[in-house]
Amino acid sequence: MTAIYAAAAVLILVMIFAVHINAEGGAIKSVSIYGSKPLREADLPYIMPRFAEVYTSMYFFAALVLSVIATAQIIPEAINNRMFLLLISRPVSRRSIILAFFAGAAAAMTVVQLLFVISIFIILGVKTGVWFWYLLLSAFPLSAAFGSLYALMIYIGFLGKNTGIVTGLALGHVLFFSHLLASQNYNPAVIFGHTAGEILRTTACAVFPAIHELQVVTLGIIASGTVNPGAILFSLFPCVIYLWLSVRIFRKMDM
Amino acid sequence: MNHLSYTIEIELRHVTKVYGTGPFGRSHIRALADISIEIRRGELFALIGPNGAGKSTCMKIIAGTVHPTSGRIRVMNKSLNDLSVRGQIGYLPEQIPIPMHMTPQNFLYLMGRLCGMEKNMLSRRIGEVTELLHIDSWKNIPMKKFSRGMIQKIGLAQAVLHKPRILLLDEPSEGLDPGGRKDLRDFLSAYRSGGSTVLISSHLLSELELLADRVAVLNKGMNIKTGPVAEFTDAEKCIEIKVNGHVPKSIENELQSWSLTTDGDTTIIGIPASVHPGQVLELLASAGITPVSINRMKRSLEDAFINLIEGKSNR
Repeated sequence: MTAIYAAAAVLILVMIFAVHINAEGGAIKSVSIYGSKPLREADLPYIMPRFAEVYTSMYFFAALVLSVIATAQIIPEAINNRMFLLLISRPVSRRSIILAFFAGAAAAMTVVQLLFVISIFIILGVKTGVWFWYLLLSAFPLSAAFGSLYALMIYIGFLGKNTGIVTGLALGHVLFFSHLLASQNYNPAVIFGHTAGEILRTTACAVFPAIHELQVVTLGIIASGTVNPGAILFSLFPCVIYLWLSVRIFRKMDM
Repeated sequence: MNHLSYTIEIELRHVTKVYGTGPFGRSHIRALADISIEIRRGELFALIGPNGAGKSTCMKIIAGTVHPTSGRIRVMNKSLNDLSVRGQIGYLPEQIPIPMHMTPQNFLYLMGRLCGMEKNMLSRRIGEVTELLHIDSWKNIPMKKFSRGMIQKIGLAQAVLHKPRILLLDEPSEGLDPGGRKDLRDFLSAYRSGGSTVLISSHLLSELELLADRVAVLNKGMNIKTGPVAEFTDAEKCIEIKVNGHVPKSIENELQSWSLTTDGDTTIIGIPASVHPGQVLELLASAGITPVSINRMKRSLEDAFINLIEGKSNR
């Protein structure tokens, strides 16, 4: 956990020093990221979305990556060091144990992510004089993204029983696969036809944690304060699937 | 105890356990092969056997942490799926997994709460148990500083914390010094006198001989023999005759039909209890040898166990 906090501190420092924001009169005049051409007043209608995009890309994925690294070892370690053995010898159902592991990690990471978002909110406010209140709402889709992802990590943890496998697959999904699923360049319609392609894409988005979609929701919140509750709820569907699968596999496991 | 006066507390009927190992579980290890055991209420029942005999697997199946491949298990005449049954079982696994960063107080509190104990009662009970096991002065120290024996005592504490009706102890003496083993014996004797049922597995057969009511010998997943301890130790009593020096070759051949061993300057002749020692004494007298001692020996549980496992008779 010390390494996680250190990494988070480094990221926050990067955001403080590498992103230059020029704000006047309560509005952002120009934004530049280290070495890039500044977006100026003429680009004003576009600054907020760009700014929101930059910040969601940075902090959204940073928060998820840190959360994955912090929680990947929980299930494999509980299996390998036989902590589950003591728990299941108690009068507690295996389903309750899984749900408790999920709720505990999700709650802990929600708190960490909320602190992360609040830190960024304060840094931006102090740095620019502009207080992005919508940023605080973005903690919700971030929590939903991690919740959905952690349910998948629990399932992978039971299958692989190895922290490296859980970490690799989870980060691979966050940083690559979820974008591939949502990318217009990857279009199953080309191979399977339009209807089948859309069915495949929708099924994949329902089965795999919708990280890209939730990032888009976060972007919308920051840019305009618009919340899409339907997208957030839909993103929890994979969470239910993987928790159910995890309970099924755990019920049959010998400790 | 006659056949009609006991209650079956734990019943295993034709239980088999096969573990899948290797990639995709293609290899199989048969840990238990069609074993049937009945454990009566209030008795201390011992499982003995060589390494890999299936003792721990048998315990884990009763504790509900391992699923049998086939067969039936009933505890208190109920299925193990009934959570109330698990609330009546206290389990000390072999090499208990303890979270080392926790203190005994916190760990026992967690274990007690998982058993549904109320906070006030739990605090009192933790004090009782830690005092009983002589670890009360270590209650608030992180367990990473504990010795192997103290960890084992913590394990025992978590098993008895909720006053279970059934206690499953897998190698409870492991890591305990002689004083600790005596404490354990006294503890188990007292615990059992309260009417609880104890199932224990151990390699320290001398300890089990003092404690157990009945014993089951397992080997390669099979139940070789089950019965009272006396049935193992009294079966082949023998008579031991000691003489100074070596016996002459003239009578050595005749004595070889029984057991003839040398211990330094002493020759020991072991004959079955069914044989009258007079024959041997006459033989010795004809060679001018006077025995130093004649003793009726009781076979130890260890001797009986070795005989059963190796399948050869001993003296």
